[in-house]
Amino acid sequence: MIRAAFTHIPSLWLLVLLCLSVSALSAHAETGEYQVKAAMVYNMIRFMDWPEDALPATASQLTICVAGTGPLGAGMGGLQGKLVKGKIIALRQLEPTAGTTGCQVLVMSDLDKPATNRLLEKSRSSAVLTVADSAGFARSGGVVGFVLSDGKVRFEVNQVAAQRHKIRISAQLLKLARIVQEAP
Amino acid sequence: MKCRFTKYFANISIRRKLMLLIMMTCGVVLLATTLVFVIKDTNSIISKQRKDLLSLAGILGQNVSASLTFNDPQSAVETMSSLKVKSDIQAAYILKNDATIFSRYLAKDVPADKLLFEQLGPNPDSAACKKLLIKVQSQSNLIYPFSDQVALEAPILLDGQNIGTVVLFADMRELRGRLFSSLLTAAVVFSVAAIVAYLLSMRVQRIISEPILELADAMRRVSETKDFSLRADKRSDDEVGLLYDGFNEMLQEIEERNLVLRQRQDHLLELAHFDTLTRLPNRVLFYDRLQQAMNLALRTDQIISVMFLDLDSFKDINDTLGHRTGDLLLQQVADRMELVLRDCDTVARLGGDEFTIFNQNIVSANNACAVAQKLLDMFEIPFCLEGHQVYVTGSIGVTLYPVDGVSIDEMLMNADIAMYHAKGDGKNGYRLYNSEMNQQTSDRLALQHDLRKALDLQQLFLMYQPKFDAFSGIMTGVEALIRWQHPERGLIPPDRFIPLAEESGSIAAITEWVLNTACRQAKTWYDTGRSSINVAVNLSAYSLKRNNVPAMVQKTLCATGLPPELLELELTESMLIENNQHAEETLHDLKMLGVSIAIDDFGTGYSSLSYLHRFPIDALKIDRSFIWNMNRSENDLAIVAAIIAMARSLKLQVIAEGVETEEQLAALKKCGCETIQGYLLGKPAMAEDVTALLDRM
Repeated sequence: MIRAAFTHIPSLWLLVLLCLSVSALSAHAETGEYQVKAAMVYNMIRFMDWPEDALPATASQLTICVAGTGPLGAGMGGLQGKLVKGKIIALRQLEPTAGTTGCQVLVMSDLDKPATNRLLEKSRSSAVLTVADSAGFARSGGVVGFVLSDGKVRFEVNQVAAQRHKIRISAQLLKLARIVQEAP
Repeated sequence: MKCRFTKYFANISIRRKLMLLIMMTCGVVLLATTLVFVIKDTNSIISKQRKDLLSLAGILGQNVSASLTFNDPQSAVETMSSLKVKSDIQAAYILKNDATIFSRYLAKDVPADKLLFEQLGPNPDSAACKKLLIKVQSQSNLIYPFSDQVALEAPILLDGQNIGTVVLFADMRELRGRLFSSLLTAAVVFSVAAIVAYLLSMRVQRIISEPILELADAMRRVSETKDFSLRADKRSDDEVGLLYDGFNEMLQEIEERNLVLRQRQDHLLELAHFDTLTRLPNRVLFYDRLQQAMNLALRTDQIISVMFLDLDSFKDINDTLGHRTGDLLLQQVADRMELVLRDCDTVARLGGDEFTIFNQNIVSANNACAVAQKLLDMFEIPFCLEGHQVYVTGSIGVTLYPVDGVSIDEMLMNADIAMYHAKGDGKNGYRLYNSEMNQQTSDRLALQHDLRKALDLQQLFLMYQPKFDAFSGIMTGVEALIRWQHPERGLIPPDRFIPLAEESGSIAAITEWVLNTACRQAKTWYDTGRSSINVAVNLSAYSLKRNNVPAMVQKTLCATGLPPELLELELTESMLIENNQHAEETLHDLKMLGVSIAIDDFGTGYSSLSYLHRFPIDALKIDRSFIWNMNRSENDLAIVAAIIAMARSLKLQVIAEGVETEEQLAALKKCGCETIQGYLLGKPAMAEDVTALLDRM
């Protein structure tokens, strides 16, 4: 019976999802906006799944590629060597022109629009979580984009983009995200 | 307590015992089954509840893991608000790793004091929360079915890491309700089963208890009715069946023993009330019957006759023919008496040859006499005893109740007295009792008593009556006659006291004394030269039968030295007839001693003369009645002449007694009689007078 009750819960979650807010995150804004964002990337990875060919169960590393030289990329440095999903996080600085092969996460930091689009285009069919803190990133084809709202860090998720990159996002995470539609 | 229960259990009926046993067994089984059922049900309900709560906690933890990770309590609260559809969840808490409360859910209407975390206040510190969490952890493994609330915690895991804890508080009342309803169901099932078991046990116990109860009932019936022919019908072949068999066998045994006992009792009763020899009632039964008859007669004014019958000379038959023959005679007498008497009369044998008879409603003395005569008549036919034809007579004394006495003893005593009078009157007769007899009897008894001492006191003496030769007038002998000089009553004749002596048995001593005295006297006369004087001694019938007379005579002859031919023994005819076998032998023995034998009172007794040549007789003494009448009656004269003629032809001496006149003497001489005895020639005289007479001659 209890189980039966909970089978209806996903629809409830969707309702909750719409009015989601991440007000609690504002407490971290002062300690360093980019450390918070890096922590959020780290936590997001925990609620996401990659296809087996992109991130085999036997793999020992999970690679976060950083493109650009902005503060977001610099903040990612703190994740170096941390364990997530039983794997060690490895950071890789990516040349804007280089390919995204071997990257599970692609953080674009302060890249201009053409470079962003180019990288998005390059990684279009590969299983890569694309993350940027530029406005409208998710709407323009990225998977996760950070936004600031009322001084609090929040994130937008483009589910279509996630599907495209074959990344499954946990409903728990989606519940906390702001879902955006891709611009045509 | 235990003892009291055992006692109670032992005393209740088998029915109840069996029911109790069945019910107890059923109760224990049912209780055990129900308990197992209840415990299992409770366990399954509780474990399901626990599993449900754990899975709820797990799902909740999963659903809030992102909220917790991204530190978004609001979204966690929203997630948890969906718990309100679960009415039994009172509160849910999401705790961070440091045990501080991340978010909480409280159901409506649950007072804060029932929830542990609410008691800590709105913002509890980490340490207090940790303490509570440890408490919940320790409790969450156990769920008590009867507590109001259950607390349960589950870790929130993300990516293999523990990121927090879910704590649930659930209301147990609903669960408890279910437990109670399951208990209630169990109780109802238990009760129904118990009732069914009771009804079944009622029937089942009957299978066992009914045969036992029936047996007990049969036993009770037997003991109440004392009817040992009853039997119990066996129902089965089990142990109870064996009990039935045993019971029936026991009854059979008792019945058989009863039968034997009854037969023995009857036999004893017969022994106690009947004479074994004659099968007649004995003294006990006679007394009993007579007493009843007397009671009845007194009420109805009737007369009863009580008779005493004694066989005449029964002792002689016993002595001469043997006791066996005597017994046969008694049996035959008894048989005849029963034929003669009516059914309502009773004849009994009191012992020996004494019979008693009573006749109810006899109306008059004449009737009683008629009965007595009928009894006497039955002796007319001789009894056939082992080949011997034996003539027996009886003497009867008759008394009438209530005329002659009021008690049985008195009646019998008077009948006895009357019987003795009948005997005294010559036997073979009956006498009606009258009160004078009693006086006579006492006289007799007194006289008998005196007689016993008379010998010692030398009150007895002998007189001698001379006998003379009819032709020469010479004294040829004397007859010794006994006399009793009683100190008060004077001279008592022998015909009065000899029967008394015979009755009391002193006759033997008297006979011996007479023989001795007479012989000694004769010897004296013989020694003084009066050689031809012989002495005659009368022998009583009793002595002849019972005493060894030949031995006595021989002893006396030896002692006195008298020549045997000088002693003559006188006997009566009847003594020879009554027991001729014994008499013949005795007479021959006496004859061998050399003494002579004379028949006294010849002519008065039996008409048979055959004994005259069978017995060794020397002389006949013609009875004085013939002598007295011979001058007045031609017949008597003819008889005397005939006797004398016969005696002469048989070469027997003839003696005439009681000769008192010259005419008599002349007539006797004419007939040829040799010896004369009588007052005419010599009265009985004392020895000295006889001596003097002899000297004169």
